[in-house]
Amino acid sequence: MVRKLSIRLALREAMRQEMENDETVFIMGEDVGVYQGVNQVTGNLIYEFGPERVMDTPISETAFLGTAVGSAMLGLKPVVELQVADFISVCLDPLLNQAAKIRFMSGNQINVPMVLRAAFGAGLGAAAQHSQSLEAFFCHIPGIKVVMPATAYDAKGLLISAIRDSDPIVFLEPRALYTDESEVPIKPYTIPLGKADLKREGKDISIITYGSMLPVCLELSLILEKKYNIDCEVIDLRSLQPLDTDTILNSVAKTKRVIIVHEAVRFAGFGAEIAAQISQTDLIYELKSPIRRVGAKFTPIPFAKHLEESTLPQLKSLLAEILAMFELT
Amino acid sequence: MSKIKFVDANGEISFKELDIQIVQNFKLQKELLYKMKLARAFEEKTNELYATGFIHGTLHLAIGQEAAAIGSTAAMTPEDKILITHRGHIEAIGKGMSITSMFSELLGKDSGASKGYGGSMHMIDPDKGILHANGIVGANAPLACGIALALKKQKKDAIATCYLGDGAMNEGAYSESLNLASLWQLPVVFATVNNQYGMSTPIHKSHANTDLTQRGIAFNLPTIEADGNHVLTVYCAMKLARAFALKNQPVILILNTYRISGHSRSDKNRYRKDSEILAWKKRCPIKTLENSLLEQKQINQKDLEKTDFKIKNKINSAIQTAQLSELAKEIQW
Ligand SMILES: Cc1ncc(C[n+]2csc(CCOP(=O)(O)OP(=O)(O)O)c2C)c(N)n1
Ligand SMILES: [Mg+2]
Repeated sequence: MVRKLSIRLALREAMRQEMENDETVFIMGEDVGVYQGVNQVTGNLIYEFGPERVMDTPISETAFLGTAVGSAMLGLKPVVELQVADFISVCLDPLLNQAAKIRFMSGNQINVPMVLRAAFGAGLGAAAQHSQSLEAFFCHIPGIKVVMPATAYDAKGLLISAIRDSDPIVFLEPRALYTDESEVPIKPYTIPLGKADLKREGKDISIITYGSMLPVCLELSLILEKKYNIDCEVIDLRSLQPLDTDTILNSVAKTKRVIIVHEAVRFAGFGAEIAAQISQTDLIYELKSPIRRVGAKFTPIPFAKHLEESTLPQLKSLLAEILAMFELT
Repeated sequence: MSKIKFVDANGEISFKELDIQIVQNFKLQKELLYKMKLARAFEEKTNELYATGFIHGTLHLAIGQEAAAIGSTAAMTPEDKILITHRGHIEAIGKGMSITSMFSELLGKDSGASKGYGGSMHMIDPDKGILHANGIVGANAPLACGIALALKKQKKDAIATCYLGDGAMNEGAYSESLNLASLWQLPVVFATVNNQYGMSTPIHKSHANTDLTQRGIAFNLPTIEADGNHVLTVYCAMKLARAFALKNQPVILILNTYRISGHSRSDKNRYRKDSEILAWKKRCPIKTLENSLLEQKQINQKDLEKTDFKIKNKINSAIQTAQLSELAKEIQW
């Protein structure tokens, strides 16, 4: 049966089904109850599962994230909501020095099966402290997995996998895409973490992306096909840690051109890691054009709409970058 | 008019009457009334501009909380420094920020308070002593300690006031800052605008001890608690708090009020009853002062009409100036 859901509702369905399926799964966060979540993701789950399993917390991120980690150490499966990823600043220790280290430090004796969900990204006029894309920062911490869906189908499957996983997971949700819809099966299903998805197959260039830039890249590939007869392959990484290097390398081996696109600041962004991985193989000798990376300018996100736009990667500038790779400008 | 509650560092409770000179200072009271009305008009207009899509981004209104913001800022000197929150429009107005620069900010203009870089949550004006407008709940508290430390080292006759909400009291940074301020005897006031909720979460669901005046005792700090909907009471309470801070005795100020507006644009009001909102509306801080001045024959209906007219014009011309000014520029930094 064909049924469309938004990313928001797909995430909610994943949580609902996992909570039905496993009574150790519970939700914690600020205003996830009657307020229904600041991004309306938890929605009516409070009425289905009650306040014991959909727990509103005080504004005490260190306390509740640390509590989640502690409870996971004894086998509970907390799904914690951070309203926006920027707030990791006030509760980094439970993630960085605790959750990420405990399995290792205990010699594999204790697991921390926790999911930290957080909205991320700009474009909504939320200014410098509520708009950041911090995935590279999370990826630099051994011991946690970093998952970033960009479609409703992936959101549901990846969240179910994340909840079932036995390691701590940072699950980053593109805030600007919450209402984006796609077909989502009703039954629970999983998508393996660390498996990229070809959102479009092509032979001329590999566009590697994830999160909020996926729709822009797909739109761009249509323009490139129609106007310039360039056949793009669009790879949605879906999870950055673990990273699906095979899919990346296979694609680049075919297209011999690669551009990496993310909303996060380009400097020291995740694109640098991908570029480095490609450069370390013999594929580097076969490339028809140097690897390019597109990301936001190296600045906090400004409030004013026109400045926010010019800070973030835009379709126009992306198009220009790609045309340059084909010497079409 | 209610008394001010004082809880000393040992938990001893006493009550203080309002300063009679202030109760009889009608010039001051008319100024306070004007500023509260201006603030209300500013926020109502802002809400309208958001609703009609003129402004993008997020918006946290403080309708109903005017007395807490205006009364406290009025008791400061221009040299005093403040740090405001995501809900800081009114403290900004009270401390002297021009509404033209505020509208300009909201419209993303170069003439905006933060040159178009901050928006509603982050209007900053160092010349008026408004050093930060923070979107990270609780983050003002340690910064305020630092500002107070600098004022103390520089031997300035001024204090730092850290505005925060009832919800922010549960951040670790807040408790750490109370301890540090007390330990180092910093000239800082922790001005808590207790509007009863952090988003949808009422105090009784977020504070293990709902008596907010008890927190300071653990840190050897005095606390002053006042009716935050009575602007004169707030004014006197802040004067008292300021006097402590000036003598390097940090102090907690609790101003009890209520947010009539929703938390932000995402608020569907699912967590409170209309009857509760209505009850607080009846205690409108602006009406309270207005009625008191009318009863005492210090103003009449004509004066009120004149003020409303003046404010309307001021708002309209501020918006016009803002609209005509240049878009925010890219800064090299
Ligand atoms: C560290 C952090 N956590 C959460 C938020 C999201 N948030 C913004 S305002 C708010 C409620 C704050 O409540 P309170 O301190 O009482 O201030 P009020 O909004 O009532 O003025 C929350 C949870 C944030 N901005 N920063
Ligand atoms: Mg509050």
